Parts: sequence; C-alpha cells; structure tokens
Amino acid sequence: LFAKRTLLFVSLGLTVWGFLASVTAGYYYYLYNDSLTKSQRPIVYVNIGINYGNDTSTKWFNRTTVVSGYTLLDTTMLVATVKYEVFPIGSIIDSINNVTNQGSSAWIWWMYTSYGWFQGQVASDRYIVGDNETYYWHYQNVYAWPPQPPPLP
Amino acid sequence: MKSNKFNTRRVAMFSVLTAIGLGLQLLPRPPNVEFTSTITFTAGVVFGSIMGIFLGAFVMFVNSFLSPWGFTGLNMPFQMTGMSIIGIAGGLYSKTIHKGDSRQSYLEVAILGAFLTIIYDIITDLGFATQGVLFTKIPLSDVFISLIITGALFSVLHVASNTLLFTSSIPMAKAIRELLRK
Repeated sequence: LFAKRTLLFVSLGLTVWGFLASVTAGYYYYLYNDSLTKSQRPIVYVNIGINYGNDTSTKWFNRTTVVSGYTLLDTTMLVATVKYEVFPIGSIIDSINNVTNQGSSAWIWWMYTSYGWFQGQVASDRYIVGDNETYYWHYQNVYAWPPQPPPLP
Repeated sequence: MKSNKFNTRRVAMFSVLTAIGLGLQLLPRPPNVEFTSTITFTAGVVFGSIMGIFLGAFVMFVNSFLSPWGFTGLNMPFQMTGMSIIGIAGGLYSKTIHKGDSRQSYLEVAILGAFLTIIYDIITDLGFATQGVLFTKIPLSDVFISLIITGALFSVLHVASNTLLFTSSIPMAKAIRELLRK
C-alpha cells in the first residue's frame, strides 16, 4: 500500500520519537528517584572541600548541616562568600572567597563517588545535595576539556 | 574554458559555504542550537558526499580549537565523525531527492535532520564517555547511559532545532544550484 520510501521515512520518524520519548522518560525518572531519596531526612550533612588552585591545600568543611532540598550553591554559600551569575541553564560561579574566574581558570565542582571524583554535570544551583555526600570546588584550568579530576581525598 | 569557469564557480561557492559554516559555528549561540549540520547536509546535497564530509569534518576540526565553549579535546574526532556522517547523508539524499511533491521533500529532510542529530549526539556522547573512562574507573556503558539520560533535554532541544533548520536545506540547495548554473 505504501511506497518503500514512505515506509523508510515513517520508520525514521518513529525511531526519533521512540528515542526522544525514552531518554526524556529516563531523565524524569532519574530526577524523581533522586528527589525522593534526598527528601527522606529533614536535615542532611555534607562535606565540602574548596581548593583555590596552584597546588594550595584544600580547606574542608566536614559535616556541614543543611536543610533537605538545599542546592550545592546554597550549601557553598553557608561556608564561603560566593558571587555568581544566573543563566537559563543555571548559575555560573564568578568567584569563591574573592578568587575570581580569569582567562581559562574557573571554578568547577566535583562529587566523590565509589568510582572516584565525578565532575558535576549540572550547574551547582540545579543540584540538590544528599546526605553524607562529599563535594569539591576546584579552581582549575578548563582550557582542555574535560578538566583533570582533583586528587583523591 | 567553460569547464574551468564552472569548476572555479563550484570551488568559490563551496568556500563561501565553508566560511559561513565556520563563522556560524564559532559565534556565541544558545547551547545545542547550531547551523553546521544543516550547512554540511546542504553541501552534501549540492557537492556530493565527499565534499560534505570535508566541510563537516573541517568545521568541527577548527571548532575544536576556537570554540567559544573551549577546546573540545578528545571529543574532536567524534564530532568530526558525526558531522561527516551528516555530509554523507546529504550526498546520498541528493541521489534520491523527490522531484514531484516538494512538500514531501521538506518533510523528508525534517525527519532526516532529526534522525541524523540523534546519531550525532550518540557519537559525541560516546566521545565524552570515553574521556570519562580515561579519568575515572567508571565503566564506559555507565558513563554513556548517564550522559544520554542527563543530557536528554539538550538532545530534545538539538533535535527540535535541527528538524526546523534542515527544512531550509531544500531552498538553500536549489538557490546554490541555480547560481552554479548561471
């Protein structure tokens, strides 16, 4: 009934629809599970490290107490002076404790996982912190992407 | 002489297309909204798959050093491969282009744009995942799936914008062919 050509393009269209529907559903399922896990306690404790680059030692703020639902940016602002700019995709950090982004040096956040340091995939004001999680702010050269992970704690 | 003139015209037109592609790629723009795929596809339709590959790979090669988002590093060969596939698709499509109902051609390139964008995104996600594996001990499949899921909304934006932009490749290819014929 249908020409081969029509069937080919209908198949391609359905493949596109199937892919987009699957990844979008997966994304919202991930967000739902993440929010559910992180909202089970009213208070959470997190560890935050700040490294100002140039091989300086890391300043740690262990067991920082925050209210459930706080973002990493909210939490960082409890332990440091942070300046940032808000964009549609999230906030970009301009400076932490007056150490400002310059040239190709910028503030990047990392999270410690069972596999080692994992670079933050979203802006810090879009990430809700979880109980006992460890974060690391690193002032580093980002000209070559991806940037090097920090040394293991 | 006529043949030389014709070749010179083609080379000049291809150079202009490459320059436009490169200029638009390097301009600051919203994330995942890009014109390179459309221009590469159009180059493939007008000049054939080989030239489509050349334009796409060249723009992504230069982009990897001069992109406003920074050096793309190890992802460069993946981006070049992804864009080359779009160039090949343009060349192949031109051989089967629908002569009759032009509305059907617009619909076809829109669908092709969406499909090729997904292929491009999968290839570049694989590139990022490979880099992730080099710096961490996370299995490649885990990083790859994580990237596809967390980048879902960016993929949707990329596919939606390219679905619209690819429809411009039909009038663009027609106009270039007319200019080459004169």
